[in-house]
Amino acid sequence: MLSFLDREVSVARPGFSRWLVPPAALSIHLAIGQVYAFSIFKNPLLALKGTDGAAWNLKEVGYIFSIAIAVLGLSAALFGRWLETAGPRKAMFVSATCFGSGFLVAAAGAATHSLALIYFGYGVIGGIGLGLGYISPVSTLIKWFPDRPGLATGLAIMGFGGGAMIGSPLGTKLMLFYKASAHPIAATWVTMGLLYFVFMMFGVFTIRVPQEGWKPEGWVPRATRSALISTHRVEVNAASRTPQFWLLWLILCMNVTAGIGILEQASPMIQDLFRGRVSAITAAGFVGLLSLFNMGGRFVWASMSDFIGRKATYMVFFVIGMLLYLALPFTGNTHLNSVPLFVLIAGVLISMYGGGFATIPAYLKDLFGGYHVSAIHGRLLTAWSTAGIVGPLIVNGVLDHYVANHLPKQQAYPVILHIMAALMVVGFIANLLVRPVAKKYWLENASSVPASH
Amino acid sequence: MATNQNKTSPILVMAAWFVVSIPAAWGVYYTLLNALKLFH
Repeated sequence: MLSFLDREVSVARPGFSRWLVPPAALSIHLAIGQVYAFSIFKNPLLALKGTDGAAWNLKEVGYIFSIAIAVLGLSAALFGRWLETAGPRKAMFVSATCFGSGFLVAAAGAATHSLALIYFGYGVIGGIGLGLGYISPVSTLIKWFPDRPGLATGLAIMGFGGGAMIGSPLGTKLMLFYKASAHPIAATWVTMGLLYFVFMMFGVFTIRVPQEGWKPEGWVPRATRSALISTHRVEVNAASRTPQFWLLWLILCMNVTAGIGILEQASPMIQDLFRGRVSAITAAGFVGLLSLFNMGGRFVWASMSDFIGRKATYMVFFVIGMLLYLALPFTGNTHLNSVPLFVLIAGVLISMYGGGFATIPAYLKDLFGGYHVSAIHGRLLTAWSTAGIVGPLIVNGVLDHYVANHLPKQQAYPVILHIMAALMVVGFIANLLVRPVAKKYWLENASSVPASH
Repeated sequence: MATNQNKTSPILVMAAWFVVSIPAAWGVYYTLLNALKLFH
């Protein structure tokens, strides 16, 4: 019955336009990017009362998002290999089913005031949908766009950044719409689950894999290419054993940790650095602007990497990033006192944070070939999970120290931003050490070569 | 070699982009409205 999901059935017929593939990928990423807008449900969830009058606290509600992100990383790492065999259509279908049904289970939890059910629904089931959905279109896009892999993956991953921009107003408007109902959050989540499932089905039915050996019309691979762009294939388990994988893991982890340092504290940071000049409402505008830079950076930097190369792109991130993290505290009211300059620098930094996410699949493809790139990408995303823990730990640790010692909170930001600059130096060194993958890891050298897919 | 008859129609390609662009544009619009508060 579900044979239409099989990889063989999703092979494109001759004449199929590859420009149908990015919208298919975008439909998945725009949907699952909703996770970044989960904070809009925090206050309504805190206001919910059980039959015994009990309410949840902020920490308990905060775990919903944390579980979802942790499961995202885990499922991307665990199911990446299965995805390479099953094909993108089946993976996208499972992702849509998990993401949509996760909302439904969480809605039952909201209606019955069961936090465990919300953890399981949105966090675990939805988290699997997030992980599978995030990596499912990557290798397909790279196969369709061998001439512009950065542009193709940048387009899809840009969708993940844009998903929050849709999820936030959608969730807010639906909660207003269901305000008079007995369970407004539950009704909102049921509606969102169904809407996202239908939207993701568009991607499921549109995605196609190219025929074996397909190349864009008239495209001839460049005879001279960077030594870092391999024509060989590396299997996912072999790739995980290479120093290159761990260097890229470190590169992604450093870039994301530093970016989270700003994203986590964007609203309080601008209010503290410009005390009396920036209100909470204005700070919300700043957060909105950062999400635009985050989304735009994913497309712009990843596309640019097709021209200047992946290693050079990350060099730009780490060198300019380090300088900008050092410069950012000087824009505050104790020095230059310039809100526009602060916003501009923070925006560029966040564009590079997004660019780091979007350029990494093409970097992986350059080093390991397109054979198992989704699976390798899935494993690399554990760097994101790690950064998600380390980044807030650094920021909150420094802030807590200043508050506990009755020191002005404003003075904590230069320390935090200097730590972020140091992380950029670590990333720079890791990127500098990236060399072509040794011959012994190539699939062609393996004793048993699995069938190509 | 693909013939013109079985090539994907450009209208279909545009329609596919339309499907994903509409919600994305709606989201960007709301975000811009929010971001404008920064300049008031």
